[in-house]
Amino acid sequence: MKRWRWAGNRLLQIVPVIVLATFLVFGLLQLVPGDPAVTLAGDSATPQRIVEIRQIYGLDRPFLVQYGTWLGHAARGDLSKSLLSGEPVSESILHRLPNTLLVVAGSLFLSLLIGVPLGVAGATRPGSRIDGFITALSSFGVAVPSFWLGMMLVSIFALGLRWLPATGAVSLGDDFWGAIRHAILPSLALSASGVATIARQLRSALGEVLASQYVRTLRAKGLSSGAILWKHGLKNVSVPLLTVIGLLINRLLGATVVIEAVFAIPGTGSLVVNAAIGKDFPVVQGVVLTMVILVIVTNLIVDALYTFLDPRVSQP
Amino acid sequence: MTARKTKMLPVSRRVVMGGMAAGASLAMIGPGRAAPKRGGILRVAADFQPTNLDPVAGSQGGDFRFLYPIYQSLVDWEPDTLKPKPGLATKWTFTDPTTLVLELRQNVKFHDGTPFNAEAAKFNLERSRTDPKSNIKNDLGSVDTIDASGPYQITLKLKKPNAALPSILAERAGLMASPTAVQKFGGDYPRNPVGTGPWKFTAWRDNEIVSVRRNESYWQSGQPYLDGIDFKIIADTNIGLRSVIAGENDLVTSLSSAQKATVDRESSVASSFGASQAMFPIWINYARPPFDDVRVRQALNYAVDRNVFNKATMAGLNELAPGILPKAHWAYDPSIANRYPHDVAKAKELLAAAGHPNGFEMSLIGPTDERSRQRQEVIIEQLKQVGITVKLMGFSVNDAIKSFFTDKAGDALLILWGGRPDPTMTFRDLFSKESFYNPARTEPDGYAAALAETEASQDFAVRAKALSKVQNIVADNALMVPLVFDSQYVVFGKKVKGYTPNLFGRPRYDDVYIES
Repeated sequence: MKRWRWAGNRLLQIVPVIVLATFLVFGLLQLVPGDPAVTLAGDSATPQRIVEIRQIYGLDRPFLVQYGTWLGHAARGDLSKSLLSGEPVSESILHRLPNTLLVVAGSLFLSLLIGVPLGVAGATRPGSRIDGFITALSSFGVAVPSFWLGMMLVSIFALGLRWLPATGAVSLGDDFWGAIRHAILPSLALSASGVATIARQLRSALGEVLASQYVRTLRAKGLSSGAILWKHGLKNVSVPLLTVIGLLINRLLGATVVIEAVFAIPGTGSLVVNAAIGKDFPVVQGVVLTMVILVIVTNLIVDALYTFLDPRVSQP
Repeated sequence: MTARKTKMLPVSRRVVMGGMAAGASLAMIGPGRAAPKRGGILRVAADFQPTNLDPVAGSQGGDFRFLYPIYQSLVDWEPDTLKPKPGLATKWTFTDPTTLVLELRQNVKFHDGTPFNAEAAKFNLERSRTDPKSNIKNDLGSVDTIDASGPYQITLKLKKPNAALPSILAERAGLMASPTAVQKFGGDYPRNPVGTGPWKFTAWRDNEIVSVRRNESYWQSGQPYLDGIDFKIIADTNIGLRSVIAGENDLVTSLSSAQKATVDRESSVASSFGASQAMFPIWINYARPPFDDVRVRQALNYAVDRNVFNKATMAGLNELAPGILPKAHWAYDPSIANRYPHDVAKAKELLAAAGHPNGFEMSLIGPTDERSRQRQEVIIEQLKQVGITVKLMGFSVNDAIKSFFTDKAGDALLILWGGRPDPTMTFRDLFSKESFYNPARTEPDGYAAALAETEASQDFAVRAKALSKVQNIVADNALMVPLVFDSQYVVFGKKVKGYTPNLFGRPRYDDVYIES
């Protein structure tokens, strides 16, 4: 019961966060130079035509009225239509979000698949050559720009070896394996910094645990290194690891913007970039709203998982 | 809230976009002459999403590549000269200088079954002038009344003679949309476009795809060859090119000549390199001093080295633009070609005579994308040689256009000019004192009369002569600094045949087929 009330409270917190975030973004869009009416009016528009367009699209109304109207519609589930192309915003997002989420999920999976063994290997042999190699590798992973890595991967695996597609995305529902194949290279390119972050964080957290007094006691008790690592070590680092994963998901959601451009993936990242350039505010607002909800839900799940992993953590 | 226990390492990700595609080869292949094969979907990487699929409401020339598969215009044009040819109108005659009678093609149906006839044509022409969302209300400004004078005949009464009118009917104003669909869908029509073209619209997902499929009841028998076209919208042409090399798309348009080196390395693709009437000029606001002095404008024309500009920004492959029209154009005047050779001494002399022996500072407006920046840098360097310091003002394309032409900010603008179907329209739009594209709102003496002369006759030879006079007035007064023509560089997989470039630089797929 208590747990449900806690979850309910957390969900209620979403509302002010959404209002604040969308309001700020809406305000920022007003500050950016450029005018959607100019874009809509076309090449040889007269000033009168631009004024006319502002009236047709309601762009001449005061800032707060425009925002209020958008919020009112959004509250009723209507994200309205793109100013520039007329496509319903909810349709654009529903269609594109799976592409983005697949790359984010793939990249998270790869980060864990590669990052965890590296972290464990480094922590169990501190100061060894392997440890040094892992540190160097993770520095590289953090430093390498994902778009560069993406282009390298494309030139080797797509254009050179022709193993995987170079561009585009396929819906999971249409063609499961096709979708996975399309997601491999972008996920890999995006996972470099995730691998690095997880390997490093795990290595330092696990290193600390393995150097602690109770591990020394366990070892003195005659427990094998394997048992110490799997039963006591990893269990103790699961909380910091979870925190890293939560933050990583949020960061990957933002980082897909670049990767979607490199691989020409129709995802929410490319959607919001195009919309922001054209000052197509209903689309920007819709994507921001979706992202805010995604981030809050991720954090909520992470926080809930803490209580399962660490009994000392209790809800307020 | 639970306290986060671990501190994150600060991770910074430098987002530096750029880089080149990884390779591609070019074999100059003309349109295929073997019997075209029917069938197949052509996958096109397009660098641009339509601004609107309602012809009257769109705002950019790039829209035409999506409009032509779906819609047809009353008047069409020859791809290599841009001379008008029959479209949905089989013939047109000026019964007197202010009356144009168009005979319409019979047995043509819109994709939704609505018959195409005089009523439908009248509906469309009226709509371009009255629809609140129409961006082309003035295109038919010279037309007084539009009458359906027969079931397949319309008569336009003009306020004054206008020989360019048939060409205007080859533009947005002449594209025919189904009246039934326009009325049925209302505000949603742009997402449900219906025309008479070889393909029917099937889907448009923003910045992702525009799809068209075969119009089974197309009036031209045997056409089209392709079952459909999927335009995949990939903004970066390097990535679009990569997708064609990887075989994921069949054709990519709007490549820069500078990408030819990359394409040449790749043997799996073919390409088509065509001339275009689109041109990169420096526009000058000659109402602003010191540009109100013709000597200063002439100095600018002598100062630029078109050849070097071409080499630096277009790999030296494009046609130089000493004047406004390309060589292939029917109204091209060869006498303009050597009017302003590159001559630094002459430029300095003219500047000194105009009272600027030490040059001056000027502002140049331009878009901020990578390719535009490169062009601006070359010009800045060339003008520096004659003592002119350029202050650059960067904007998005639309805002650059607005600030130069509407707000009248900046002395000059460097941006692509797409050209008009009729040269009279081109010269009117560029230099008439009432034109949007002339921020100075002044014109040389006798310009209006010279332009009127070009509309007096329907005969191309007579018109070319009249247009030569107009071109000379423009060159004498150095109203603009034309630099180089754009090119139409299209790369496609080896199975794609029949692609023909046109002088307009608007890709069309009517003759394209896929070889098995």
